[in-house]
Amino acid sequence: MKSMALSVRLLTAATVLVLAACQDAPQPLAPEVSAASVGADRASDALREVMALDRTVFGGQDAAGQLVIGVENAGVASGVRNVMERFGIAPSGYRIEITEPIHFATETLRTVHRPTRGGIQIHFSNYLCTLGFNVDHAGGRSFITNSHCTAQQGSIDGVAYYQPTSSTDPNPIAHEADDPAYFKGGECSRGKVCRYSDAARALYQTGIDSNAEIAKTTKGVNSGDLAVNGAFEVTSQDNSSTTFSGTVNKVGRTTGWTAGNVTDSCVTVNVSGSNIQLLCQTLVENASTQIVGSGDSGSPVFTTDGTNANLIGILWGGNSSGTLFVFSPFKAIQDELGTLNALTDGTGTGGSDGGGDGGGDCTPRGNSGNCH
Amino acid sequence: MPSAPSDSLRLRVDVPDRVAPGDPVPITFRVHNVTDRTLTLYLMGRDIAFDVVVERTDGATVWRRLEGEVVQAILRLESLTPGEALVLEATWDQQSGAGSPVAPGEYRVRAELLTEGDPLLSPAAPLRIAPR
Repeated sequence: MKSMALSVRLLTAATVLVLAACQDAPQPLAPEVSAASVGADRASDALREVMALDRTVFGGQDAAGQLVIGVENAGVASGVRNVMERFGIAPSGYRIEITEPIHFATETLRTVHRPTRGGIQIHFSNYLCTLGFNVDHAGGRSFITNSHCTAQQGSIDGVAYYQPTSSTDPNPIAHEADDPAYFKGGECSRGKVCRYSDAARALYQTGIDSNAEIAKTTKGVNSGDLAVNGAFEVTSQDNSSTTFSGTVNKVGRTTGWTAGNVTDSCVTVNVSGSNIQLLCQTLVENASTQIVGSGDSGSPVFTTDGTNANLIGILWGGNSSGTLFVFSPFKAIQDELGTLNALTDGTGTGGSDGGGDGGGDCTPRGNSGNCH
Repeated sequence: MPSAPSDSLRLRVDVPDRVAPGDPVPITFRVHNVTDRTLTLYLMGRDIAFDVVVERTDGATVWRRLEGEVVQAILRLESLTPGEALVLEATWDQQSGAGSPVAPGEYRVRAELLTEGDPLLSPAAPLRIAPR
């Protein structure tokens, strides 16, 4: 949802005199002349006409009383001059500046999104995470985020999720509906509790629309940009792979759209400061930039052609410098939460949820190293 | 809600002045709200993630608590009332990052609180490893 607040970027350092920008322009730099000397009515009529031209940004008088017209690019300036000439206003009677266009207040990964989509901020208790992706599930229309983005990791607690925060919208969009317990033994190291995915499912509230999309940021990959412009359409999901290679992407509320290269696949990873161990995870690295930050937990991980997304997993952690992230494969998420279809739009119905396929025998507890 | 600016917080790391070679080194990291208003900190980790760095006096790092660790990328909103302090504790076993015992001598210890943005750094505290 876009607010109506206008960006305040008028007359900033980013503006450039159009004559300075066009070195071969015939007119010399105009001395300042006040609008009063032009004639207020004539100036007003001229400005009204100028502002009807495409790609004019603003028009009026500056603090010194000189007419000033902001345009998006030098090509618009000739149209402005023509209008001014028609109204008998000499070039010395006005100034043209090139400036950025003014947009409505920006939609970001941290603002309200309805329908919801992957990559946007969610809030529960006193934590912020990222909505991974929307799914159809036997229990009802849901989204997937991390198991550790729930009130009680490894058990069904029904915690309420808000988007983007409860202070912005106090109505929860969903409640946690499935978070399988962690298990001991088997492949799990002694003293650890394990799962194959750090994933939980939240059931949408009735009437909440959700799309098979991942929010796309304006300035592209690894830019640090959080402004949203469109979305990747989730057109495929990888139901079978546990090993990956090459470049993979993620979108999260903290570091936005980032990408790195897979360095290790299907490896066991211990979670710092806990007794939790995640089996068969994939590590992604980009030594040249930050690709993960706190709040990116739950980010959808995907490959893309720039338009469509092939969903391959969910991000849950990273190193302290943010140059490496870890994700659980979509296959493992589905194995633990039940069949998921991330390729369709939908609307929450409140569902008839009965939980998922979890079957572990213990729950992790912070740093205790114990299994309860 | 912006994160608390670092001048609103006093960060301090406490270690013993002197420890015997091989003895565990207790490290206490305090993050103190020095303002007269409640601050909301945006911190990394479900349990608050913090790093500890032990350096030689020439600045070379000998141990980093979170080296090679994977931290959950969740953002925790932590409120600190006026005068309140977070107290975080760690222990260093006097092993280098490579896993070998460090030599007796003078060291510096500092701590880093991981946040949504840049980490908040404590001043360094001196540590001497010497036989009793």
